[in-house]
Amino acid sequence: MVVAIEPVVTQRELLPEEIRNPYFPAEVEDISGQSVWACMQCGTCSGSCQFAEQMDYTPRRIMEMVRTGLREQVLASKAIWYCASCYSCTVRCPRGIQVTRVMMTLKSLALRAGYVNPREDAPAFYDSFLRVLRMFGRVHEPTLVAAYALRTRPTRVLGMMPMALGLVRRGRMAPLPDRTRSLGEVRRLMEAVERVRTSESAGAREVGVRAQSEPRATGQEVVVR
Amino acid sequence: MNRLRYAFYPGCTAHASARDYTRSTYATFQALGIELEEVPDWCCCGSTAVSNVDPLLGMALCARNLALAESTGLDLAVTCNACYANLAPTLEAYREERRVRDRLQRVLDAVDRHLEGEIAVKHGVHILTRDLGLPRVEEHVRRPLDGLKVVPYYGCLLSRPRNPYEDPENPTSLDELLCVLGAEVLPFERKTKCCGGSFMNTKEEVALRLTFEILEEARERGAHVIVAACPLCQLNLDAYRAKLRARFGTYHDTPVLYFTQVVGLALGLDRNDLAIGQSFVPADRVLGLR
Repeated sequence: MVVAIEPVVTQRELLPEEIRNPYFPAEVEDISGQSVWACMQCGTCSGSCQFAEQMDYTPRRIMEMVRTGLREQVLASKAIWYCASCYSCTVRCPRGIQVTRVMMTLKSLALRAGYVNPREDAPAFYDSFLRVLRMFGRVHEPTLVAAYALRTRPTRVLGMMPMALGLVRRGRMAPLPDRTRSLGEVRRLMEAVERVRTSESAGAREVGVRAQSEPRATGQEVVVR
Repeated sequence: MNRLRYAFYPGCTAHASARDYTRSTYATFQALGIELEEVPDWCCCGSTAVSNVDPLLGMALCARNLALAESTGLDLAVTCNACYANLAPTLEAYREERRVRDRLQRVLDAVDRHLEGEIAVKHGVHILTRDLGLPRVEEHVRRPLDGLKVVPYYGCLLSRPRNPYEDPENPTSLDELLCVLGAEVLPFERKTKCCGGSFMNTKEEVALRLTFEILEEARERGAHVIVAACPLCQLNLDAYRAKLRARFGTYHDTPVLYFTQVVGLALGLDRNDLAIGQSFVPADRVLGLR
């Protein structure tokens, strides 16, 4: 089933099915609310990105790889984790695509589908953030940093001590976590988000959208220029 | 003229690493006749972390806070750029994107909250420069900052992804604000460049380099003070100087103050009420306060 019209001439259709997921563009569009088909591959996003040189694929290439359906390569890429959400690409995109929202979507899919090691720095940090949020409804920085260090490298705590002591000395560290009073409400909200998502992905399965395929190694590399 | 009143969303750092920002915000806004009422029982907006794990949850947290704020009947004041760049775009998407609105309404229903979407979200900088207005700020200046050379650092998220009062590439409101205080505002090429703050814990090398470049430009231009409008920018530019010296061999002694502290000084407020002494790099000497 083809879920979107392909407006530009590429060699997509020549790629074998095993490495090309034709539902991937629609999946990304649905979560991000952004039309990846609007992209004209001008490269303004890559040119505006302060982190492009650290990325294995530039933002422009990521956009094309999404359209090509290279789900596995995109979700396993290092590039998406180098997006700092600075929105430089977003404000410059001549096609009005919020590339930052696409990048956020890709990170969330990579986490959900298990393409990243949860003990790696960025995923571990985000996960620690969510845990602290669930605990207090607000994010208490010392707890966040401690939780993060414990999940990654506990020795990190030593490196953080000068900063922590500096904050304490200057009266900028709250010793006790600040809480939201109706913490139960925040947790119910988090559960409701989960319900909305699962009910939608169930609906998507009915109409034949292969929303989440499991990671698998194909050993094949496709180069998108 | 009626007194300006806002619901105030302080954000998670307000009661921790950015206590100085919160304190100076209340002091300065009060001195300018602006009332702030903390949003009752607000929760974290999700920062960029939650949106990266779960974009819908990021928006849902913002929607709850917007609903709480809207129920006060006041417009919402935000002083953290990261909170602003979460709350304002969520509100915009809620108003304009049907699917987003449907999803968020289902989530809000589950916690018995309702968001009409009529509230306005404003950053503190624009409350001073647009709502109150520069002439009114100028009227309140008691101790003009003559001779003080400043560079305004807007960071990523005051003008991006969108702010009705700013050009995303070249925001000017902080420049204008600092001008009416009597300070000499220097051009600052990196005023909207990313400081890498969100990577300081996860990709330190990358973050340190970007922070260094911003501090280096401020030094080259001869700035006495860098003025920030975000607790995350302030902490990032202020707190890692020793690490930066170890990495790059240059020590930068340019202090980083919040815009609320700098405005407060020009209004003649006491340095303690503005929590001036709480930054890592001391500002007393350049401010002539000692």
